[in-house]
Amino acid sequence: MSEQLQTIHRVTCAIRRERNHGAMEQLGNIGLRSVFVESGRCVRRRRRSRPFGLPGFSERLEDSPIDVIHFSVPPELSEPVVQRLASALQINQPGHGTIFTQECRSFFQNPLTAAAPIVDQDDYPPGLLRDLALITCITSISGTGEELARVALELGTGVPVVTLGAGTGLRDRLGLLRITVPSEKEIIRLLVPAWDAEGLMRMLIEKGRLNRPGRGFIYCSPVAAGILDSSLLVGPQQHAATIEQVVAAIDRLEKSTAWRRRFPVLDPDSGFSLQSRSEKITLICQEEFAGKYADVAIAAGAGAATSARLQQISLGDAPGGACERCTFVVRSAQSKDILNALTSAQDDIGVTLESLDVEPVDFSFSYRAEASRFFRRGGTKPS
Amino acid sequence: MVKNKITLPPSTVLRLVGDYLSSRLREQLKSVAFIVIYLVAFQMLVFGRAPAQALVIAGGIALVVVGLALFLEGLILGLMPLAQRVGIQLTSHGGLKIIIPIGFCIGAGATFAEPAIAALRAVGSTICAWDAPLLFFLLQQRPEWLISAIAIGVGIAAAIGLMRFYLGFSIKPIILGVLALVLPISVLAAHSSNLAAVLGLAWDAGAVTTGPVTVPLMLALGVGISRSSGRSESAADSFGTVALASVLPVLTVLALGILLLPHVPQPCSEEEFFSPAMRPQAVALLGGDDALRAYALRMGSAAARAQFAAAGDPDGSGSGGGAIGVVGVSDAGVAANDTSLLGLLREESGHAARAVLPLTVFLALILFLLLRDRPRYLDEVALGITFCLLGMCLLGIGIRVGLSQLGNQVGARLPQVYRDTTVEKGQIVIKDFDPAILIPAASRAGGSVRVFQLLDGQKVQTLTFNPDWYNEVERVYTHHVRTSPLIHPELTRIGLLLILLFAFGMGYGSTVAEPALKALGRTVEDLTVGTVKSVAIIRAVSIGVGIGLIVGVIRILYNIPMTWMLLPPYLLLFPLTIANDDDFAGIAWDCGGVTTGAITVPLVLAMGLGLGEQLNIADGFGILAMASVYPILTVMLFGVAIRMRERTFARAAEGANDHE
Repeated sequence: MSEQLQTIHRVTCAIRRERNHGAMEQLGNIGLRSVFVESGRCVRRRRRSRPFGLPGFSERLEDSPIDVIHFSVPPELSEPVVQRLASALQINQPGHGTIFTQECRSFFQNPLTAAAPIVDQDDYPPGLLRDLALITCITSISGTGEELARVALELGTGVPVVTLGAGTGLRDRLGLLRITVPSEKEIIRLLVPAWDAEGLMRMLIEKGRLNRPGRGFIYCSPVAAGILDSSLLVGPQQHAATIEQVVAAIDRLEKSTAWRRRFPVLDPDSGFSLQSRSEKITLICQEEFAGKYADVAIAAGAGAATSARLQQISLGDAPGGACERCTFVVRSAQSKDILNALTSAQDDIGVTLESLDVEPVDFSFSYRAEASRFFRRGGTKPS
Repeated sequence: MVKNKITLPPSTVLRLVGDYLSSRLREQLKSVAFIVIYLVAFQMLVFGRAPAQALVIAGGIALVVVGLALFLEGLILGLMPLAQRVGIQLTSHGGLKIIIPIGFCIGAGATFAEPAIAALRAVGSTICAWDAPLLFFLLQQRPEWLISAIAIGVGIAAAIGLMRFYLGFSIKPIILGVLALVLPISVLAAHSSNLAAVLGLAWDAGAVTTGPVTVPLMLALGVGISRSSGRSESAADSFGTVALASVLPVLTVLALGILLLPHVPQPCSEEEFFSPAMRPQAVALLGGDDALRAYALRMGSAAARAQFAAAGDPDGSGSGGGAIGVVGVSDAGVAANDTSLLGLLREESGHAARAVLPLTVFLALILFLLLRDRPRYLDEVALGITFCLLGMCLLGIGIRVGLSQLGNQVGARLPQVYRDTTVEKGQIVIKDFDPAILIPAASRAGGSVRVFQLLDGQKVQTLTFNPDWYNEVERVYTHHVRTSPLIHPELTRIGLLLILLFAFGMGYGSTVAEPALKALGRTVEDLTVGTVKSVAIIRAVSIGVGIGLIVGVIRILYNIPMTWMLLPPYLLLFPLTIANDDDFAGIAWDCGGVTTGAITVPLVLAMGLGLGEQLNIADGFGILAMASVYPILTVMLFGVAIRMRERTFARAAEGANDHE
């Protein structure tokens, strides 16, 4: 097992399910042998005229099924690949989907290095932004996801992508009593302007009441480049362009989101304390084995794990099948131990990992971390 | 597996367990509430009576709630994860040559374990050998052949279904192909009087086999296999097996009927049946001389017995058998002989064990021995299976003590709504009655009657004098106050409306509480990541069952042939299936199979049987078949609606820039 970590870019693309076939064709043409697909939904606001000619509009959240596709490519190919996909699937137009790449370090060679992709450098899609961040929120109470999505939509940041997952960690240590704690989690991913990421995160924590026990966990990780889906509101249009289209157009001209920065510089001591210096470990393995790897990671010091079910879709000769992804957000200092434990556990478990990546996390927040900080402070005061 | 176990303080444990219990119970309470309130309200408002034995019934309903909660939790914790794991491992280890036999075994095994099959036999117990010889032969003489035919059908269905997940081909052509085979055969069968009687049974058999344990198991196996096959690009495409399992048995049962057709006599009148000319065939049907004689004594009328005796009964016991004859024709639908709680417990725990254990043990053996794997949370699975057993047992007792009692009380009075019987409401006893106060009055029909006036409190009312109620010796007149029937001999509009309303509510309410449907709803919600809500599916199915029951009752009331009621919806399903997406077509067809489960079958069958009996119709069959085709229709329509909404929504979301 080579311990050499190699920098790669992970591309995540959320598109409408009907466009899945088109996307697969494109990805196959690029030279990928297999991709991971996760089913999810995206939430938008739907505005309608009231029935019977009543004045005003009624508004509610409506969701549509999407497929979240991800794969990794060498860093130098990430932008061309994203551009190609974006122009083929018209992702640069609002409502067509979201795409972004993240830089991470991987233990495995990615499948694209073998085959050289054919990318036409000319079709540069306008709208590719380089100052974005990804907020991921894992909530454990069903309904919180909807709430957070509503907040995100009302803040006008982007279309949230919701997928399902299951949590392990604390729950597993309760013995049979764990059945009283639901393991189902909703994972909400939100692409936001990097300038406002911290402010938005604080707002989401407050609105989603994540500072209360048992509600969830939130973190923000950097994004190398991406395209936001800004079609937040669907309904009768009263102007030549919707405000989302105007914002997208200015973003394109500015090639940045800095112009619409809205949160002032925050006082680090106010509100919740966000943890920095964390890393996120992502592993993908054959279905039903993520639990075993999660046990290994937790024994090595990870606090909790979130697993999600994926499907590996074969685009060429590579085998496909059911997979599981398991993520841990850990302190940077711990990550090396956990990675070592995971790689060396492969022989014991008998099923090799499909991929093992580490990526930096800018800030994270959980009730547990907050509580332990609070208790530490409270404990030191009297002495 | 995890070393650092946390021990929580007792107060926290109590709170956790308390939250857990209350949330699960509340959910079930909500789903049972509708049918209970509906039945009680119907009884109070339409019949003007409070339910009898209210306390016992309330206890029974409490048991139903607890049983449902336990059973569903058990499914989610134990059975479904186990089956899903088996599904996943089957694909990676065995491939087709293991999946097909195992699918067949699970399907066939499920049929033998299904308690609802026994319910079918109970319904058939009132069938007379001369009215429908083939049906009689299948149900009474060779039930094991019947069950085997059903089992083969379900087995093939399960094998095909699982194979489909593995290979990833579309369910639509299979279902439509099977239908294209079954429907013409059914139409042809309706022309043979013998087969026509079996038709209802065949369609019901398909509906009944897919019970509360089988459906979740099939679903979970399907999810496992289709997920790990890696071929299908849509993970939601793991439905359709249940549907096949409810259509294929129709084919096998009809095939059995056709095979047996030459060996049974044609339907005839009772006299003909017992006449010497028919004797050889009748003997063959009943399986012996003695059996025929016993049957004649038990089921036959006096004339038939006499004829039997005349035909050379050596013992001359024709007249002596009268006493037995009366006993035989009791209501066999509710065969609750041992009604003591202990007896019920013993019986229902037997049912539960038979429904749950063989299948789970089989799956567990496959997993442990053949696939050499074990579930991640073994303790959880074991607990889940225990929950399932316990839940099913409590549910069974609860249904018999509470829910179906309540249903029967209403059902038994339902005929009042249209039959020409007056119901006595109370008596007024008048002492020292003097016939001199009687006033002659004219009656519309001609002639004269005598009436008298009665001062009742402040009001004077005029009552008709009935000489039979007057006791001349004691000079006491007992007036019987009667409510007139709501309607008159023939069905009037309001009577019909009430019956149909009852049927709809019954179907809707019992389906909402159906555990297998909840399991399906959850699976759908999970696989579609919440874009199709479980509640919406359950509602669509329940409305479908309600409509199905209305149609079924209309069939019984007007004695319309089965084919007329089944053909149009099925024909309508052809274009709808083709129009719908692959996954939704599967979901809709599965809903049809799911509807007829632990709660619906007893309630609905009792109603169908009651109505059929009142109207002297040979069988109350077919009602379940209706209850499973209409939900398919409603879910299909729901699916089309969802897709249309999604498309317009997505188009609107993208639309603004499409002209670029």
